[in-house]
Amino acid sequence: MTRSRTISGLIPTLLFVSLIQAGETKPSQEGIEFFESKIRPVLVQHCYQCHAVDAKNIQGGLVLDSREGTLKGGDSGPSVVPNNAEESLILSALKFESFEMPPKGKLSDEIIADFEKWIEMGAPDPRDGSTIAKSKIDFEEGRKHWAYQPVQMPERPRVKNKAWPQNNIDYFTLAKMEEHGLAPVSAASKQALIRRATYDLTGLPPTPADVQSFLEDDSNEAFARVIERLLDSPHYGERWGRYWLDVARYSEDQAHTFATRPNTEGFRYRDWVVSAYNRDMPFNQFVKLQIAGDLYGPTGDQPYEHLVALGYFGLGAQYYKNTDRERAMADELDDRIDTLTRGFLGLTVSCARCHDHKFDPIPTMDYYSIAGIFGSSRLHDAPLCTPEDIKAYNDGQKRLKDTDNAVKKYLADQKETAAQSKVGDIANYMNAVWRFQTAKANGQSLNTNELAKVSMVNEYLLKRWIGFLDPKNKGKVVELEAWFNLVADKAEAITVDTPVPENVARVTTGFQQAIEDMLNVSPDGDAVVNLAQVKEGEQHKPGHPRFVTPVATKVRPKANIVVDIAGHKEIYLIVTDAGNGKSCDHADWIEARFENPEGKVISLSDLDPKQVDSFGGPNKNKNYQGQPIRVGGKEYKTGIGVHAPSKLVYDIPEGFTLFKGAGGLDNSGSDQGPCGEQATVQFAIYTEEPKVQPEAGSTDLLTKVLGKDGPLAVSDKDLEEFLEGDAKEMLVRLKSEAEEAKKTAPPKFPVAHAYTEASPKDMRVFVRGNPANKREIAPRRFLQILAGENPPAYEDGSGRKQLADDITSNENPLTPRVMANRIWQHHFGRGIVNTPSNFGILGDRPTHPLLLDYLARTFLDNNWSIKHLHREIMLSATYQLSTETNADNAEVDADNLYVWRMKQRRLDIEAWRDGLLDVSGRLDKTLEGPSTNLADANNVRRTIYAKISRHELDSLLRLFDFPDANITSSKRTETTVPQQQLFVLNSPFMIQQAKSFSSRLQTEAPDSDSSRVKLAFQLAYGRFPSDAELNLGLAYLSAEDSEENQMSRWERYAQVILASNEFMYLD
Amino acid sequence: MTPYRYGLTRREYIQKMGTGLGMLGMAGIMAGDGTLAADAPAGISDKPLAPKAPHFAPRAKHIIHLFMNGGPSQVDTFDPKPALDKYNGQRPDAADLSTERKTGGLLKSPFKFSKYGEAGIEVSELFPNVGEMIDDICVIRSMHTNIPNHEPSLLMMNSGETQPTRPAMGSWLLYGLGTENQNLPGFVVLCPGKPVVGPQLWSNSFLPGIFQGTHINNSKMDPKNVIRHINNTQIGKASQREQLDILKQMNELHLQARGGKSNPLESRIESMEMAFRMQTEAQDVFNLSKETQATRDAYGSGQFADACLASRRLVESGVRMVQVFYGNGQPWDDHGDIKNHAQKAKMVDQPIAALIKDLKQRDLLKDTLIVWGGEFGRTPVAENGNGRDHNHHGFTMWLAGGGVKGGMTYGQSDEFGFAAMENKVHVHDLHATILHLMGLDHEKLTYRYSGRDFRLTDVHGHVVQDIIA
Repeated sequence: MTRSRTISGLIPTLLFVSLIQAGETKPSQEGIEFFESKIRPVLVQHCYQCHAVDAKNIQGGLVLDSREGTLKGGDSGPSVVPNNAEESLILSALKFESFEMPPKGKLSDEIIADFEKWIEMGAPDPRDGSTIAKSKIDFEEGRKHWAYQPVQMPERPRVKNKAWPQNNIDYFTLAKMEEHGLAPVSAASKQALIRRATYDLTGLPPTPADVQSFLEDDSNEAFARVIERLLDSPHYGERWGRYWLDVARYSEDQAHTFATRPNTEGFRYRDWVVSAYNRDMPFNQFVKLQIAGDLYGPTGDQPYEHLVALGYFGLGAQYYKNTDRERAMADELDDRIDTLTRGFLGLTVSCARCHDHKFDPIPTMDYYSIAGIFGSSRLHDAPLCTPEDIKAYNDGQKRLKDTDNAVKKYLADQKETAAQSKVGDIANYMNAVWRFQTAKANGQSLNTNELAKVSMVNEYLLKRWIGFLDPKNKGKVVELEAWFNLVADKAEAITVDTPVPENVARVTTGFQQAIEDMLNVSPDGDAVVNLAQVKEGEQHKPGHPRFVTPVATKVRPKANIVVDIAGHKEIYLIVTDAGNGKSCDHADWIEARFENPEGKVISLSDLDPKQVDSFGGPNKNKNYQGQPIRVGGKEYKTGIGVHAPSKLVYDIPEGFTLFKGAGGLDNSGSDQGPCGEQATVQFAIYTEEPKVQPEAGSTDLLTKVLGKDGPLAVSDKDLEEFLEGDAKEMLVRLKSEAEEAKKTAPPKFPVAHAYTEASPKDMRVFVRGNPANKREIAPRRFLQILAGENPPAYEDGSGRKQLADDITSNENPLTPRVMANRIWQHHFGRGIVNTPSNFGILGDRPTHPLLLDYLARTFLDNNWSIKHLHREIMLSATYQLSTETNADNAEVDADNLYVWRMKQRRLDIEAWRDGLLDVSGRLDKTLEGPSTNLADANNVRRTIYAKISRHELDSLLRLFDFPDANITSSKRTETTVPQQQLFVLNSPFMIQQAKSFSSRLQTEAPDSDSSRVKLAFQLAYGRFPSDAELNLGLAYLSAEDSEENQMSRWERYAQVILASNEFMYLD
Repeated sequence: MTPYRYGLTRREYIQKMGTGLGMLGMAGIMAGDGTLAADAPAGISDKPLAPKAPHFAPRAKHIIHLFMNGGPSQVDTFDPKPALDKYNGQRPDAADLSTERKTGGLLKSPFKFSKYGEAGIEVSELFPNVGEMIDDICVIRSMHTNIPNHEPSLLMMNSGETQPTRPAMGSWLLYGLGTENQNLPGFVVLCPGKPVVGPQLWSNSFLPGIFQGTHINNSKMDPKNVIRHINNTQIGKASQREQLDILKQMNELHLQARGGKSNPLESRIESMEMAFRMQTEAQDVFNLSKETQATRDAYGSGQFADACLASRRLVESGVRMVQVFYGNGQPWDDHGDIKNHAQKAKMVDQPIAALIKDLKQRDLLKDTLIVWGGEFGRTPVAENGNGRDHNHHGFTMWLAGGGVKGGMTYGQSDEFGFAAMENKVHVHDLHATILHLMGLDHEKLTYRYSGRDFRLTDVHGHVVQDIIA
C-alpha cells in the first residue's frame, strides 16, 4: 500500500479529501466504493427514470447513466464539475436552488452532502461506458452448436452385423461400435436381466417367484411382459420420480438457521411427482404444471395437482434477508433461474448473471428477462380445497376461539364474584396477619394452619394476606397507609387468639368498610361514592372537583354520580384515563341528566355541550364507536359516549340543582383482549374550569385486593370447586360448548408450497450482478438463442405461462433432448451427453448424436411418453448386454463410451437401503405421505419418503452420495470411503436387517443350513449359490465361536450376504 | 482415461515423499483409499483423497482454524483504541456506520491492554497467555467482510460465499491436496453442538461427497462414539475379523466371475479392510488419556482445551484441516455486555497458547497454520448500553505458524477500530493467502460445475504477501 494516510480528528470530509490525489484520472478504490455505495444507488433510484439512455423521455438532454453523460451535462450545461461543487449544476438542483430535482421532493441532507463530498473528491466515477456496450454475442454463430439444431428423425444407420440389432436403437449403437472397431459382448443371463430391470424400474429386487416365472417363460415376449409388469407397478414412480427430485433439488426446509419456515407440506410435491410418473403424464404437461400450473388451472386428473406441481419452484431456496435484502432476493431468483434452465433446458443461464455467458450465446439481458418473470411471481401457500372448505375451517377456528374465550371470561368473572364473597372477612384476615407479624417481631412464629382455624379464615388466603400486608409493600396501596403506620406495641407473648388492640381493629374494620363501600358502587348498587368529598370544616376550592368516582375497570365498570349543582352556571364533565395511560378507554356518561327540585328532568342527550375537548366523541346515546352504549354487558338507551381523555362543558339550565347519572367503561373498549383488561377510566365533575386533576389515588384498589393477584383471589383450580348451582351449570355448559367446538372444528386444510402471480414488472440488468447497480430494462421474454433475437415480450401477467409454453414447444430442441438423455442416463449409468444439465459449449458432446435425436424425436412423436422410451430402450439388445468385459474392446474404449457392454452399476442409497429392507422382510411398501426420519432405526418405509433437509442432510444419505439439495443435481457422484463400510459393519440398521434376514431364512427354509444358504442367495442376488459359495457358507456356519457375541453365526452370515459387493452392484 | 490434474500414482507418491511421512499415514496409502467411480468429473483422480502435489512448494501442510463463532470484538482483544476512552459515549461522524442493529455512542473497552513479546504488540488482558506467544503470531487488524449478520458471514468465512451454495474451504483443500492419512477423515470439524447455520459450513456442496467435513460433537469426547459407527456393540473383534474374511472371500469369488478386474469392486474390498483398521486408529487419535499429565495440564481443562489437544493429535496424524468452533450456537455474540467476553476468553486463552507451544516443541508449527478469529468483529459503539453489535466493516484475526511471520501486525483500522482502513484484507484475500501457504494458487484451484470453473475465492482475492515469512 503506497497511499498511507493519517486519520486526523473527527471530520469525515478531511478523511475523504485525503483519499484522492489531485489530477488522478483513474478513480481510487475508495473513490469507487464511495460512488458505488453513496452516489450510484441515488442516481438509479431518483434520476435514471428521466435521465438515462433508456428513459422514455430524456429530460433536458441530460443523461446520468454514464460518466460521459454526467460530465457533459444537458441543455443547461455540465451537471458535474469535478472538485468544484459551486459550478456543479447537479448539486444546486439537488439543493432546489437552480432546478428542483428530483421533482418528487428534495432528497435528504445526508444525500446532498454525499454528492457535495463526491464532487469535492473529484467525482470518481468508474462507469467507463463499457457496461453500456451492446452484447457482443453472435447468435448466428452460436446457433450452429449441435444442441440448438432442430430435432429430426435421423436415418437408421447401416450396420455390418445385421443379426445383432433387436430394435432401432441397436442400429445406432452398433454403428458407433463398428465405427470404432468394437463388437458387443454377449447378452446378459436371464437372471442378471431381471434383477437389472427390476431394480431399474422399481428400485427393488425381484422376488424368487418373479425370477422363476421369467426363467420359465420361453416366449419372445417374456422380457416385454416383465417390463410391462414393472411399468405398471406403483413402485415405478417411486424410483423414477426420485431421479426427478434430484433435478428439482427437492427439500422441505432451508439451509440456514434464522427465520426459516419449514415447508411442512412439501411432501405433496414429492408424491405428485411419483404419481405423475406412474400415470405416464406427458412430459410437456409435467413441465408446464411445474412452471405455471396455477395459470393453466385444474387438469381434470387430480383437482389440485396444478398447484402441487409448483413445488418445483415453491420449495426453492429462501435465503436470510436481514441486512442485504436485495442481494438475498436476487440470490433467490438465481436459484429459480438455475433450476429452471439447467433442469428443463440443459443450459447454464446462471452463468450470465454478472456478464454475458462466456461460452454460450446467453446475454446478461436474457438472464434478467427470465429473472423478471420470477420477480413478477411470488411464493404462495395455495390451499388445496374449495373456498367453502376454507370458510368451514375458519369458522371452526373462530368457534373454537370464541367458546374458549367464553369459558375463560366466565371463570375470570366468577373469580371476582368469589373474591367478593369473602370481603366480609377482610378484617379477620388482617387481624390474623397482625398477630402473625407481631409474633414475628417478637421472635415468635405462629402456625398459620392453627392461626387460620382460630381466626375462621382460609389458610391459603391467609398466607396471601401475610404477603400482601408485608411491610415491604408499604407505599404501594395508598389506602393501607394507616395499616403500615401501626406501631406494634411490644406485646407479651402472642398466641393465635390474642385479641387485637382497638387501634388495630379500627384500621382493619375501616379497610374492610372502604372495600365494601366501593363494592356497593356497582354494578347496579345504589351507593354513590364521591372520592372528592370535601372534608368537614373545609371549603370547596375553586377549580377542584366536586365529584370524583372510583376508577371504573373492566370488572367494575360503572359508578353512580349525584352532584349538588345548585347556584352554579356551568358543569364540566371530565373523563381521565385514571393515570395508567392505557388505551381502549371508551367511556359513557350513562343517563346523564339535570333535575330540579320539582322533579323535572332534562337529559344531557338533548343538549349540546358548549365546549368539547375530547379524544373521541361525544356521541349522543351511542358509545364512542357509534354503537349502542353497553356497560358491564348491559345496554343503556341514553347517555353520551366519549373516549378518554375527555372534557365536555354544558350550561346548567336555570333552576336545576342536581346532576345525576353514572360513569361507565363501555364494553366496546373493555372487551378488546389484553387492551381491554387494562382499560381504566375515572369520571369527575367540576363547576369551574378544572385546575386540579382528580386524584387517581384509589385506582383499582379493588383490583389490588380482589383481582387475580390480590390476597382474596381464588386460584383457578379452587374456583371450579367453589362454584355451585346456576354458576356451576353455566360453567359446565360453556365447557361442553368449547369441547364440542373442538370436536367439530374441521382440520387444517392441506396446502401446496406453490407460486402465484405478483404484479408484473420488468427488471433492470444488474451491473456485475450487483442489485444496487441497475442498468437497462430487460423485457420479460424467452431466451434469444431459442426464440430469435429480440423476441416479443411476454404480456400475460408475469409471463410464466408463456415461458412454460415456450419451454415445452415441440419446436424447442432442448427440452426433449435433455429429458431423453436423462432417461438414457439412468438406464445405462451414463448419459449420451455426460453433462446432463449442460448441453452448452462447455458440456460434453453426445457420444451418439443421432441416437439422441432418435430418442428425442421418438419422445415427441409419442406425446412425450416417458414409459414409451423405457420400453424402447429396455427392449434393445444394447440394454440387454451383459456386463462382461472384453480385452480388445477395452483397449479401444476402456470407459465403454460406446456401450459395447452394460456398465456395472452400484445401487444408489435408495435402492440399496430399500433392497436391504425388502430382502430381510421388513420393507413397508406404503405409498405417499408425510416424510419420515431415516435416523430412526425402526423406519422401514422406502427411502424416497425420508425427510430431505437442506440444513442438515441425513447422515446416511450424505454418506452414500445423495446430492446437496441446495442446488439442482444432474447426476450423483459415486464415492467409496471407509465410513460407508463402518455403516455396513457396525450400524444398528445393518445389524437389525441381518437379524431379520436370518430369522426370515429360518422361517422360510427350516430344513437345513444348506437350504437356507440357497434361499439367501435367491433372495439377495436372484440366483443359486455355486458349490464353492455354498461350501464357504456352510463352513462358516458350522465353525466354533471363540468369544461371546450378541449375534448368532447365522445372523453374522446374513450380514455378510447383505454387505457383499454382489448385493450393492448390478450386473 | 481420466487425466490426473494434481494426482500422483501411488508409486510416484512414495518416491516423492520418501520417509517424510509417518508410518501411520503410509499404512493408509498402501492399503488403498477412498475412491470415486471411473466416471468422475474432470480434475478428480480415481484416488481423490490420496496426497496430491500442490501447485508450488507449500509453507504449511495442515490448518487448525480456531473459530470464535459469534464474532469476538477487536477493540477488546487485539486492536487497542485509546480514542475510545477519549470519546466514550460520543458518536462522532466517523463512528456513524450502520450495522445490523441500532447502536449508540462509542464504548471504551473495559479491558486493559499491555505490550507483549519482543515485538511489543498490545494485547488485552483477555489473552495474557496468547500474548506471551505474540512473537509467533501475525495479527491482521484490517479484516472486513460483506454483511453484518451471522449466517452470511459464517458462510463467507468458511466457503467464500454468503449463501449456502459453495463448498467449505476444508473441502477445497481436500480436493486440491488430498490428505496424508487414509485411516482418518481429512477434514475434521470439532464443535460441542453446532454453530449457527450448521452442517452447510463444512459441506462439500457441489464437490464430490468424499470431500465433506466430518463433524465431531466434542461435548463428550468419547473415543468410542466420536465417529459414527466406529464400534460394533454386538460382536467381538475376532468375530468381526472372521466375518470380514468370509465377506472378502465372497467378494473375491464375485470379482473373479467378472473377469477379476473391476475398479469399483476392488475399491470396495479395500475400503472394507480400511474401515476395519480405522476403528482402532480413529478411536486412538481421540483418546486424550494417551497424553502425559504434563501435556494435559499445559492445555488446561474444558471442551475447548480438549479440542485444541485433539487438534494437535489429528494434525500430527496427518489430518489436513481441523476446524474448532468455540461452541454451540454463537457464543461470542455479546450484544448485551461486552464484559461477557471475559469468561469465553478464559476458556480459550490457555489452551491456544499451549497449542502453539506444543506444536512448536514438536516442530509441527512450521507446517501447521493456526487461524484465529470470528465471522466478523464487533462495533466500537455501544448496543444496549454495554454490548457491541456485529461489525463487518472491520475486525481482527490472527495467524500463526505455517509460513507466516510472527510478531507483526498487519493493516490498520480507523481510529475507533470500526472500519478497516489501511491494507484492508477481505475474507477472500484471507482465503487466497491460506491457499497460497498451502501451496495452492487460488486462481488455479478450480472445479468445473454447472458450466463454470468455480473457485473458493470466486472472482476475488489477493494473496497478502507481506505477512509471509
